[in-house]
Amino acid sequence: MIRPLPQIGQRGRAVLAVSQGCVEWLEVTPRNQRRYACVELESSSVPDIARAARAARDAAGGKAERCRLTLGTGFIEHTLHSLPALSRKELGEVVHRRVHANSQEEGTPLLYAAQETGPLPESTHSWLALSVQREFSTRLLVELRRRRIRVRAVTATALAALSRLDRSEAEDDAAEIAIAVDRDSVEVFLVSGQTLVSCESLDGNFQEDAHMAAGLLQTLRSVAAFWRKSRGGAGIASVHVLGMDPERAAILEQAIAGVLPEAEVVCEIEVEGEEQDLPLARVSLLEACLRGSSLVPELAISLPPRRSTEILGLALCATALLGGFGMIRKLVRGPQEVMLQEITSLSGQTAHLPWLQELGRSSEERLEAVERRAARAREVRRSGIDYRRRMTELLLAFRGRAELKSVSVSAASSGTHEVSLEATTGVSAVDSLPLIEEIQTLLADTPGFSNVRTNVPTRIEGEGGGLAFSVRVSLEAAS
Amino acid sequence: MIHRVHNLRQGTWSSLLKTGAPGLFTVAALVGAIGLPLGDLYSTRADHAEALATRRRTEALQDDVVAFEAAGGPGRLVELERESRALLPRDLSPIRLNAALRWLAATCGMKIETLSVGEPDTTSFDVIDEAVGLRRVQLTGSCRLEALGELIDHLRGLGYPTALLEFRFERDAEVESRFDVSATLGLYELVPPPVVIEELDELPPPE
Repeated sequence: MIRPLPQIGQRGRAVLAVSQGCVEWLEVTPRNQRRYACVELESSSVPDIARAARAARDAAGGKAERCRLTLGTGFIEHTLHSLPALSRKELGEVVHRRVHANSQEEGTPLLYAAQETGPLPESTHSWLALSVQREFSTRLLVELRRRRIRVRAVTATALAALSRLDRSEAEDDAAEIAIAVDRDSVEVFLVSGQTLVSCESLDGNFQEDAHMAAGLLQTLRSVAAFWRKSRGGAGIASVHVLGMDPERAAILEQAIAGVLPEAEVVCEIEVEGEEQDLPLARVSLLEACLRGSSLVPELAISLPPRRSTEILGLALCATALLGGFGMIRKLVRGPQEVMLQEITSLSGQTAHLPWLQELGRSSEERLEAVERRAARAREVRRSGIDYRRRMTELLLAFRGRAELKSVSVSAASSGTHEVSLEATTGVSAVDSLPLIEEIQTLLADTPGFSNVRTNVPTRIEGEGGGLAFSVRVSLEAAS
Repeated sequence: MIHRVHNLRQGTWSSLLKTGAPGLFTVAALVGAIGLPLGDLYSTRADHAEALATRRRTEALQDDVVAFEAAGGPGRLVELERESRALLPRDLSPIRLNAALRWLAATCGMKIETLSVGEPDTTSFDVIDEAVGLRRVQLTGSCRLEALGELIDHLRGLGYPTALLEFRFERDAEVESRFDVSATLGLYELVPPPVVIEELDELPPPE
């Protein structure tokens, strides 16, 4: 069965395919018109490829600046791995190791991306890995960018057939085979439900090599046998062929039907009207690349900034630097010079400040010493017993009440003087007692005197002759 | 969920760093280019503020000097120092003191029997250039009660700061108005400050 090419939406409008001998540009316009051109490569060097890519786009009348880059055999490698369930870190290490181990360019840094493509028996998973040489791919993308072709993602042309499998409608156990006929190889994929089970590659040009057809049929037999054996006799539901000329596709369809009689064979190459002039086999293959597939990993390679961007950035930086520096200098210089002049002037005006400070300090010290000497002299003069005042107070207390016989004031001890008084009254003993009490009261009421103690004899002989007694008083010391 | 593993971002950071190096350099240089002049400006502003403050201090001190000069200036200060130093006598002569005391006592009607003038003792008064010493004078005799006060007043009048430290009066049996007196007077004078001998906390070990 030959199926017409499906409609392509707005997304993914252009694809650039690089093969060993040529570069092709396919662009699908918003009106679903296909513009295609193929330019022969002079060599496989990066500049030649980029030049041919630009020429192909111009020849096709393409206008798209962004495209998907799909690489053929020799430029990109894809491998299918069966891996157990691992942590993300372990998975990264294993994939890295396996991708580099399978690389034909040993020791060359690679860019790779691997994607899980479904579960396999015995708790393993199918992983499809895609790898390119880091330097080659980066240089190629930079060269293409210089020629105004920006690459969104890089993939392998051989994996295009996987986009043709309508996996959402596939039964769980139904197996499908997708065949992609590229310029330099033929890929055979076995997909069951959501899982990419196997991937077989036949190197060679199918259009030119007559033995390739026999090899392809043999591979189909092997794949079908493998599937029957692993799934207990299950058959192949359908076979999708992509990239085959319509004439040869009909012959191949019959041959496949002979090998896999139970399978439906689908060749998607038929187009209508003016587009019949296009090489339909290549267009169908490249359109499949445009669509992509959830099973196919893509390499979204980030590029260093353009030289012009770098120069522009540097120029902006330099401008900002010089401008900022100049502006700040201009803003700062004026006020700073004014202040510096004022500082110079002020310094001249205050040159004698140290002398003034020294003069003030020494004068203050000398005045302080004068004040201290005066205070000390006042303190000295206040020391000792205030003789006149205290004697007057004592005499007043005794006047008219008793005659003072002796008075003594001891030297100050513990802040007080001890005053001892001896006196005699001029009246009878009975009349003397009130007088002694008066003396005691008067002394006790006098400021500075305290602790007044009188000593009156307990035995009194005779009525007259007066009464001798003594008084002891504490006197607060002046200093 | 689709699981993917790739190394597409390896080297992205170093590439970004390499690409952004001029930008980073520019930012650093801008910070320096702006920061250094601004730092100089702020430093100059601080110096300016300090210079203004110095001028204010100078002006205030000059005002003080003017006021000081108006009050007599250094000459007046020297005079005050001399007067303050003369508030207390120094180098009292025991002989002259003895003579003065006897003469003053006689003037006051005090009959002195014994009189002794001691050496100056240390006191707790403030030491300013010189210390204050206390010279004790002990006297016995007889007199009226008022005479002791008069003697002290006369001594002070002659410039001897005098303190009455202790005394005792006993009424004379024969003359009622007279008393036997014994008193201790203290005469203050300036003496050289005491020499402070610092004691060693620890003696050096014997050799």
